[in-house]
Amino acid sequence: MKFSQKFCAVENSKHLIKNFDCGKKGMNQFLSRFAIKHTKLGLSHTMVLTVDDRKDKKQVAAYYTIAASNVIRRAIPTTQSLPHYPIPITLLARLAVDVNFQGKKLGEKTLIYALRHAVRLCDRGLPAYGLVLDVLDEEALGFYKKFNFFQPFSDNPMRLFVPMNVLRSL
Amino acid sequence: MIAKRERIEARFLPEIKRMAERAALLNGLTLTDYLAKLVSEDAPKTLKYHNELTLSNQQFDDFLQICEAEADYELSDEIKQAANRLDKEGF
Repeated sequence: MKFSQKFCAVENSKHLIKNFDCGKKGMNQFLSRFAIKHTKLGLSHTMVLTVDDRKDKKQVAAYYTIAASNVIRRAIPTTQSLPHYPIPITLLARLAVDVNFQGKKLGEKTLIYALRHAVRLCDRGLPAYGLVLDVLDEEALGFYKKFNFFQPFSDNPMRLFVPMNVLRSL
Repeated sequence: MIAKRERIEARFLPEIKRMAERAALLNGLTLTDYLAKLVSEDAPKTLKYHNELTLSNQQFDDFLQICEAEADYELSDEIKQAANRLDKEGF
């Protein structure tokens, strides 16, 4: 099975978004029902990797969703009264591989592609101090942890983090 | 001058619709104004929630420190391997 060599923005007319099945209902539903609407409203951007065939509507093998977000310092009165500004970050909100294409290292390749995408966005003027990963479940956490690369972001174990300046050398 | 209005079409279960009509009346509002009020109250909160990740003071400071300390944080072998694999094999 051959794949296209680039991810592209999800489009209803080009991609079989309803056929995608990664084994997690919420992730399938996001792609089929919400991803395009999110993109239109600028809430997040979903990129898909398709099977490289001649069909008009191509099968989606993997997708990821990124969004811009901000890190806020909780407003707790402290003795120091320094001003605190929201710190812009890029959020890797979703990453999924269709069950038919799992076990081919597609997940980790998608991750690398998405991380590099985040760096490009930063270089093109979307400021971000780093990339925060939203982790879906224990299985996903295991996947990210094996890279021995991502830091805990807060006391929420389902959020991981990597600074942008580290990603630049990827 | 009255701002131009746009139409929203939505279908509700009958009981939800009745409930909304009653609650609107009790607030002295039209159904439209009542729904607009609900959205104006909730939407900013939802948008803010999705656009912000809030950290405690300590966590925030740790986060900034990691962002700025480049020297002691490098690519791991595992992530390098994955990157090499993508560069060599493609998808």
